[in-house]
Amino acid sequence: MSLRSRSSNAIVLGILIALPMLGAALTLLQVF
Amino acid sequence: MLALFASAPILIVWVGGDPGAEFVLYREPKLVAAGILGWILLAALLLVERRRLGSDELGTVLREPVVYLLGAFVVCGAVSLAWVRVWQNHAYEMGQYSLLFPLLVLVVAWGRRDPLVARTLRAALLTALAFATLAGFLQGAGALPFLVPIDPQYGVSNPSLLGYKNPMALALLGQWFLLLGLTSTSRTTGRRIALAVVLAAETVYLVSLQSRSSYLALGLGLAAVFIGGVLGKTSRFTLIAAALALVVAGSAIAAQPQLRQRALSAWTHATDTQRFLASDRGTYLLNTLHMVRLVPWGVGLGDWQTNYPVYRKYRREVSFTDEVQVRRAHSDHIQLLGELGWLGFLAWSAFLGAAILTPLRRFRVSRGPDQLCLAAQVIAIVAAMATDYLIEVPVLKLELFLVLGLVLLPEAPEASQRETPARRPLPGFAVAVAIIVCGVQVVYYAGLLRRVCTAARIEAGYSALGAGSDARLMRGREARLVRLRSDGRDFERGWGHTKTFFKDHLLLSAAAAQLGDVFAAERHARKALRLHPYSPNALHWMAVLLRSRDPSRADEWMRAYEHVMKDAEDGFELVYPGTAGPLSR
Repeated sequence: MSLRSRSSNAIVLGILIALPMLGAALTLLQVF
Repeated sequence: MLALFASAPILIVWVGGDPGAEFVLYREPKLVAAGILGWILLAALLLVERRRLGSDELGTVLREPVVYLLGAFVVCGAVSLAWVRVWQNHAYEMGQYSLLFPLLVLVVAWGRRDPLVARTLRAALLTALAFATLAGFLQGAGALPFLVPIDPQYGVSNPSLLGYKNPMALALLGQWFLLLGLTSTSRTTGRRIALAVVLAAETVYLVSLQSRSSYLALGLGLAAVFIGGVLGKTSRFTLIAAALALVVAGSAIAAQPQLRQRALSAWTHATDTQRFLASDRGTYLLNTLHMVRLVPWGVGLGDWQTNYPVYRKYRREVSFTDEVQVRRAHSDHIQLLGELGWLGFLAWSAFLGAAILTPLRRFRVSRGPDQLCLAAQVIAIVAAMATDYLIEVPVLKLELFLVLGLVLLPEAPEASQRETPARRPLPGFAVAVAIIVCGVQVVYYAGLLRRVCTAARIEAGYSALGAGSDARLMRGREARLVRLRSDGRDFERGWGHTKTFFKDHLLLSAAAAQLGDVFAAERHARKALRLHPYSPNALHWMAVLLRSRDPSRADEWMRAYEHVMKDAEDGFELVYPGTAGPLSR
């Protein structure tokens, strides 16, 4: 597996995890 | 689950208030429904499809221009949290994008393996809007007396399941071309006729709603169908159906003088630049351009409404008086330019361009009318967004994402791949994160719905206060004020944000002042100011509240109010903490 594909997949996962986490963090800020 | 999620546009909630003050909530329940159903769908999808949807599958979707450009836009929005003035407004928008964007990627990756996904998505969206059309006709005929317009001043001539006429017209428009595509590709004659009848009904309903933006957008989309259809030699049926729809729309407009006037007005605004710039939308455009000239990186996602009052360089009085203050640029493109600056606007425009080109490119190869109609659909939505707000309304934002899903799903997915496991399945922690986030969001949205219903009761209770002098009326008034106080406590204890909650705090503040509770009145007024720092109403009300207790501070609030109303045009810094004075210029 090439380094490029590995790093681009890491970006994919990063975005897909970071975005909902950001949303949830902002939500928690509103609840508390 | 997907079908339920895609039919969120038709959900409404009844709120019983004071006797005679029954409400139908058209707007926020759809946000709540999309939020709860969407998060559960996302978590369930990850749980069930984890072994089949690996990072390679998701990566392929993310490398599509439409998706990464949309992602760039969302990231620009996320970054603007660093300088946004009212972070709750940012959170309100970001909360929606943080669901819709990952869900889009996941659903598209899923749909590439399973052809049923695209079909379900399309069927659910079209059915929901067909149902809304039926409800609209019944409502217009008076057969559904319990469905009243959310604000009676608009009159029952604009009945709909989406409240005010424009969101309904734009929601219809947002899937009209998909329906045209489905009608022209369906195989049996019976189905074709049934779909054509729905299409004709939706066309009549659409033009009867008198939304000028959707007239122009429908016209532009149809022009795209005709030009593409003739150049690309697509099925003659599509062209005939589109021409018939044009005839139906045209004759409905010609038959009604009121509709004729709206159509004419739409035409003059679209063709006469001077006239457009002198209109309300033209004014918002000029002032927003002034805003980004001073703040090129934008005022922050979701926060146009906060900042507009202090960037009114041109025709300050347009839609901005003591009674009414505009909260939206009446154009998504302009508003996003103001909120995300040039960089965000660039990502946004590139994303829209890609969303139009993707189906057009497929049409050049396949000549299939469905891809042409998909392109026309995106063109119509983009055109409507130029003169009206779609993504400002949560349910229309959802609809845009559903259409994007269909744009990204190929015509014939490779069903053979369906059972092959992913080379690199998603790590377990990604699923765990999704489930935790899902739990948090579901609880949040349930709370938001509760709070929204409380706000509706507060608004009804306050407007029912009225003014009276005889003893019986006064007693009723007292009881209503006390009820408002307890609703106010509920409201303060609750969580969740919508961009109009500052108004409810102002109402609660006024009610508390009438009960003689000056501390509660000031607390609510300050909360309103935190949610809308430049609201002239809130600034003025603070001055009124403090007039007898602290005249010098009252003067400062009054100066702030006058500054916002009369001369602030290059931004304005306020400092609020009750300790220091409100003004620091």
